[in-house]
Amino acid sequence: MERVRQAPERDGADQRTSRPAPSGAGQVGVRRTVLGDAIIVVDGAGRTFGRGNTSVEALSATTLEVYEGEFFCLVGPSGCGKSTLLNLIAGFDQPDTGRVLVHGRPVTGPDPRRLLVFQDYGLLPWRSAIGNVELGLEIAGIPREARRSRARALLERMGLGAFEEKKPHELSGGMRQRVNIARSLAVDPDILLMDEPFGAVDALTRMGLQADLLELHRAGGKTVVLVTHDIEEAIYLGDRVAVMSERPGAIRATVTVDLAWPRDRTSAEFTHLREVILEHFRLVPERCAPEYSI
Amino acid sequence: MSTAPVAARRIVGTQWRSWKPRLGDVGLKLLGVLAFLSLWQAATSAGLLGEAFGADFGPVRGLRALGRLAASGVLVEQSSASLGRLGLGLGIAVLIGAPLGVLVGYSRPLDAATSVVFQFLRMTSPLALVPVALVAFGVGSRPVVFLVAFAALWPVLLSTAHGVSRVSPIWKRVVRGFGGGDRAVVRRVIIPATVPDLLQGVRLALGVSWVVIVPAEMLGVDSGLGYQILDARDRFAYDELVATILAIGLLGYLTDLALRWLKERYSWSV
Ligand SMILES: Nc1ncnc2c1ncn2[C@@H]1O[C@H](COP(=O)(O)OP(=O)(O)OP(=O)(O)O)[C@@H](O)[C@H]1O
Ligand SMILES: [Mg+2]
Repeated sequence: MERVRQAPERDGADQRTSRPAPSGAGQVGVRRTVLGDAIIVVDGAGRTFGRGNTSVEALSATTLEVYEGEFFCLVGPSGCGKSTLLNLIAGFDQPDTGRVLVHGRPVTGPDPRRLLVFQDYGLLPWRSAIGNVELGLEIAGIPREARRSRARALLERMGLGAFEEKKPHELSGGMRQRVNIARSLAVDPDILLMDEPFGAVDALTRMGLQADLLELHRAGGKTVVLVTHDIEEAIYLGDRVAVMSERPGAIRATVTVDLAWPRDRTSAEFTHLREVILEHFRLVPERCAPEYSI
Repeated sequence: MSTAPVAARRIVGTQWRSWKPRLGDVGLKLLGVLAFLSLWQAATSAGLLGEAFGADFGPVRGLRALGRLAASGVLVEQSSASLGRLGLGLGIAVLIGAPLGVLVGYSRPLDAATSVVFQFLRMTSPLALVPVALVAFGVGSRPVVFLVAFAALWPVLLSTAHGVSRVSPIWKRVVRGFGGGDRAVVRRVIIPATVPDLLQGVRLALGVSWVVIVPAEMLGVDSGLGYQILDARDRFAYDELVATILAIGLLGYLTDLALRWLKERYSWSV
């Protein structure tokens, strides 16, 4: 089960977002990716809210690519447009400029194969844990018995087997997020878009959730885009970490995390990557011109 | 898992807290009822309420008469007549008020356009509409049902609208994210989220309905508890009059209890 994954694009200091060359292309001595094609392409997407002199440019001409099976992390200062970007990819919102493609097609609306996992869980408070996990399956029209057993298996896997009849308000924050993740996994999406999923839980619970998420990712081969404030979390989880500038946000730099699993948060390489990313934050000017961003 | 004990403690905590006061509650309730009945009885037998209100107006004879009415089947007959009209009126109010409430709660412009009219109609005493009801529906049960429905409509509508406006947009986005359309949003979010508010509205409506139905049944019908009050008065059967008042109060209390139970069942907390 512990499939060894490799991050895309391993050539050292290259911090640009670039499409990995096909494997076996003949470059001797360079480890090349085993990951698939760009599954998400954000091409100069910008988003401005409101009109006139009260308008807020939340996202300015952002370009990025996420590869199939990749774990892609986005870090950036508060209010820089991370959620806005994730909403564009999820299809809850449309860009004013540029485009967002998933599987090569423009995103026109939400799709259960490309699920947004909400930070504040979005659990329906009148449903039990298992009822919440069944929600997406109900909407997909899966028969009752199949729904139940699938939801039950997922809750077991998230360590919540004993809590399936509990209502969300009877669960702790970490457990609610587990239910939320189980609910998302139930419909077997290709892409999970996670907006600060562990922002509201304590540090130890967060580490547990991170480890579980990593295991799920490595077992399931799903593409994950995860937004976080926590640089350490991004390095621990991500194949690549994109750093966003202040609002209006754009990708400032993309750092490849070339560390083997399990990652040691105290190792020299880990610490070094932290410094690299922190340095990008310091370099970010107050308002970053679009041409700076890559 | 590190989070389990925290949650477990919280669950145990709520059970303990909600269980504790219950025993004392029942005793106090019974005590209150007994005290009320005793005061009432004392006042009537001692003639404190004046000569016109003798022991016939006391609870003891009233309860005895209630027993008689129950044994003869009159009570069941008249109660079911009233309950039938009440249920029909409430049912109509829910059928009209709940969907309308959902619409009003959903659409701000519609809410703005209707709020003054709805508040105005809500404050209009249904009894002021008796002549209108009689002209529109003739004599018989239909004007009574109309008056009940009219009285019940507004609490149902306004409470439902309030419930809808409290629905978190995130829940709707979750359903849409799973590929659900408007129908799925209504069925899996709006309805379950608002049912407790709807039931609360029905509870309020029930109270108003009992207030309205008794005088409404004093006009142009020859069955029901309202009719029975007039009938008892005409026959100078004051103990039966008291019995009917007791029956109305009791039925009102029991129907409210049932709705409260239903509301608890479907209510949720965040
Ligand atoms: N629907 C909206 N209408 C108006 N302004 C909005 C809207 N959504 C976001 N904004 C604004 O756009 C900017 C970016 O918001 P966004 O939520 O994307 O930031 P973020 O990076 O996710 O921030 P945080 O880290 O605090 O979650 C903010 O200034 C925000 O106020
Ligand atoms: Mg955000």
